[in-house]
Amino acid sequence: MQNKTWPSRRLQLGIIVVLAVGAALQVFLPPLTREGRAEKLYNDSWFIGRKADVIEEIRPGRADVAIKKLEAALKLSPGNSLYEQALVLQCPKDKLPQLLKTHKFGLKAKRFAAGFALKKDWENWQPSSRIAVRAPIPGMPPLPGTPGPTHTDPDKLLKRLHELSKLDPTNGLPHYQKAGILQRLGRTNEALAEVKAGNACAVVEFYTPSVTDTILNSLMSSVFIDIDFTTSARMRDTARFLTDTANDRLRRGRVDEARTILEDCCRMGVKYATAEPHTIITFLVGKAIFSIGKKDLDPLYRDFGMNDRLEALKQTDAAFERGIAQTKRHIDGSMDRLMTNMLRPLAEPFHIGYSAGTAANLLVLLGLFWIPAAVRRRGHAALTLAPWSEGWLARMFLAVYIPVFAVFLALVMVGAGRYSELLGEYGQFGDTFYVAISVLIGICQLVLIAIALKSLHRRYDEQTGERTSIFRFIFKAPAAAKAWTRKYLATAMAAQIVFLGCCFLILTIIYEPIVGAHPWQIGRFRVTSISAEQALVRSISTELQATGFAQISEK
Amino acid sequence: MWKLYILDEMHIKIAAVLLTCVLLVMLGCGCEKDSPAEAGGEWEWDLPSVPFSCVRSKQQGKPIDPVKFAKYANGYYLELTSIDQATGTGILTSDITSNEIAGLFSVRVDLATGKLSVIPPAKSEKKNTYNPNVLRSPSGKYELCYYEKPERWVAVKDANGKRIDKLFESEFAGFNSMQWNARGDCFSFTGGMECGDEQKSGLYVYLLKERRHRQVAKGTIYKSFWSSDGRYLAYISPRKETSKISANRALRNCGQLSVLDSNNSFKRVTRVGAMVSEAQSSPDGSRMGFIEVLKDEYGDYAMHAVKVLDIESGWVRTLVTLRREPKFIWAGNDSLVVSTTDKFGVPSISLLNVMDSSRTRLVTDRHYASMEPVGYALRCGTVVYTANTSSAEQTPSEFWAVSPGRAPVRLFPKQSSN
Repeated sequence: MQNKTWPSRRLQLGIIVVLAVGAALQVFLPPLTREGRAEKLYNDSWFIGRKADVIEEIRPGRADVAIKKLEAALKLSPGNSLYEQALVLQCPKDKLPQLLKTHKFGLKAKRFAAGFALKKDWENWQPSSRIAVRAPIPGMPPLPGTPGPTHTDPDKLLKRLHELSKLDPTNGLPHYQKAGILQRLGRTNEALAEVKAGNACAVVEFYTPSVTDTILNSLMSSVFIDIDFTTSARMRDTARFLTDTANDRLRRGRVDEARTILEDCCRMGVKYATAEPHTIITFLVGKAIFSIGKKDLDPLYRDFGMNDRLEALKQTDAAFERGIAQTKRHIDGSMDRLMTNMLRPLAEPFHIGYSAGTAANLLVLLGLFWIPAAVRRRGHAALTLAPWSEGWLARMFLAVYIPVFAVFLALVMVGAGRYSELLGEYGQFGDTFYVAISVLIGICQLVLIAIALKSLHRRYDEQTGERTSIFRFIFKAPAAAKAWTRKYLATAMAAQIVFLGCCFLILTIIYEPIVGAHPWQIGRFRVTSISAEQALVRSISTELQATGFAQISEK
Repeated sequence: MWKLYILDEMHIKIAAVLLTCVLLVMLGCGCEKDSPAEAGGEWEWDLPSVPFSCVRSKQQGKPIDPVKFAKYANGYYLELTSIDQATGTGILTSDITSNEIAGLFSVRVDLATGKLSVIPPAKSEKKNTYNPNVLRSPSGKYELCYYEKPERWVAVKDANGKRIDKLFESEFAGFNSMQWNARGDCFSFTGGMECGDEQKSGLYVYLLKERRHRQVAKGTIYKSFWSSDGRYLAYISPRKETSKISANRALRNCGQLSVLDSNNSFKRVTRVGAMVSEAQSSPDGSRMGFIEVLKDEYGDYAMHAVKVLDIESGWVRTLVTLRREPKFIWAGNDSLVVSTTDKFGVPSISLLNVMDSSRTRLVTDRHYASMEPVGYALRCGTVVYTANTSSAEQTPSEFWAVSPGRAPVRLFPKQSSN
């Protein structure tokens, strides 16, 4: 009597195929919701647009394609300020005024557009670490490379910065930029006032769109988001201008004025270090500015017995030093992330193929167990896949085994389809863990297959009393092999389930603390989640702002 | 129905394989990435370098027009490269590279009169003097040649170019700070700078006579230098106290000053101080001037003391103590020229007598943010110093000269910029 099993092999195969197809569709099919599709368009625009300068050799920038994707994203999700800012960023400068006219942007995007446009004019100023240029020595030509006439009229630039600060009253950055220009024009008192005004603002925020943590999660984040070294260098110039002015006042006996100016310099450093978006580069620049001010403020406090202020300054300095130690550790672990972020667009096809190979491996595993049964059936030796005799227990076993296997297959496909994001999101740990798990799964599956087959073969030989080859066993075994076949197939299946259970346990319990999310949460990178770098600098910023110096009264 | 299969050997093997895999994965995920050991050097947190107006690089072989050089020599980026004690003249040199000109520019200045004369580069520069990969001994009899391939190594050669010995960087886990002594019979270098290799960290000397090297001091070496006569080798190395205050990065390269005697198999003659930041040998090599950082009234390392060590006798004398970091050079063997800054930030240049600690103030000028002595002409007792109106690093310096009892004279640039 032929035993029928449930679920049948057709059903088992069907389930596997459906799940595999479903996983593949998830990789290649666009999201079903409007928001999901808009997010995908936005994400795709990042690495093919004008801001892909760093990887231009890999994939040349195509700003027009990026712009089209962003416009399509805005149609799907109108009013999304993130997409609006990204559209401003991708737009060539000469077309930006037209863009601002044709699109109704929100305040955040308008502010960003104004600041971003100013930044381009700012670049016309020669970056230099020297303070105000001295009057040239009569008869001597200027040095080669000395900053000559700027391409931008400083008064026009000041006017635009003034308008920007009115548009964005809570941001200290326009004030600092004005201070830099005024200082170079020799308008010292106005420059000092602008620094004070910048320090009085709630935040310092760069004119760049909020970007995803995938991109931020690298040392080169400032390159991608346009926090440029020029601005940072000029901030250092401004800090030195402040210390020189303060020291000049001090030498004339005006101690309180000197103290105030130096404190403004240190405050500017704290403000800059805690600027949005939080990056290591801005933190380091802020630290440099603070150190410039502290170098003269510290002895002033000590010489004139200002104990309370000295204590507050020391607290802030210690907080900076702790921050530097933390960023150093972070950077040491981040170098690989830099490269993975840059190679991200190339990685995806490879890893999809890798995942497909893993899935095929699982199918082969199942197929190998089916071969003996199919051959025996042809030989009229009824043998089912069930380790025990037919009945509800056998059905239960299959109902558990197949779904567990299928879930694991789906996890592999989902995770593999996001492999490149996984690298960008979670860096080396995610990468190492994922590859290790995949390799281990593959190896263990092959080992289990080999063990099960070898065990079956050995018992068959014991039963028949003769030594046969493994191929003879697979294709020619008589029905008498049924009894021990059940036992050892059960062992192999049970081992598979235990192994899968352990993998599942690892994925759920251990993965999360290391990587920061459960595997099924790893999907397309989220535009709102916080990267490790941002989180680090944010925590340092919180500590900095809580130190005594940041709170100290000006009087 | 719920038969339990008894575990046999095969089951145990399978279970063992699975457990091993699980453990390996757990270990691999649980291990933290080791942070790289700190190499001896410090992580630079300054901003990336900003373009200078004048790039400091030396190029040879290009024709140089002295007239054009003179036009560009307006006092920016000059260095006092030497003082001829016999004639009382100094050489100010600038390295300039531009689209038009490249190379060295030098001007000779009479320290007594302030008279300047341009030195054509061909005369001011010895043939093949500057090659960043070659370090010649003072006598010119030997040279050290640096190579990069297949790994960094140094060839010790004689004047004819014949190689005497080879030193490979891997043998010392990185070498640094190679310096000839004044006699030219040996050179020193520090090792173990890479990967924090404690075994190889230390100070080494290579003895040309014996054609071998030896380690004369172990551990991290912040600075090392020879005495002026080439007899003593001094170095600054950390004390335990340094590591406790390592959070203050400004004090990280401070330590104790040790002096070794090359005439006595490099045995240690003396060890002084706890937080020495700078040290210089006197012209005759018998004394060492150094700056030590001390605790102030607040209990912080924020005071600086200028001290002198007499190597033979071992006595140490404190000449001056002040808050802001001073700079000094030797003025003969019995005096130091020290720049100090008072609590109002007004800089001064003074002569300090080593024996009785007496002080002769040469110049005080509240117009400048800092003044730093760079040379002393023994013949005329003239101190050459630089003066800056800004604390920024790349601001141009003015060169001045002052002698006791005489008003300071600006050497370069000649005309006032105000």
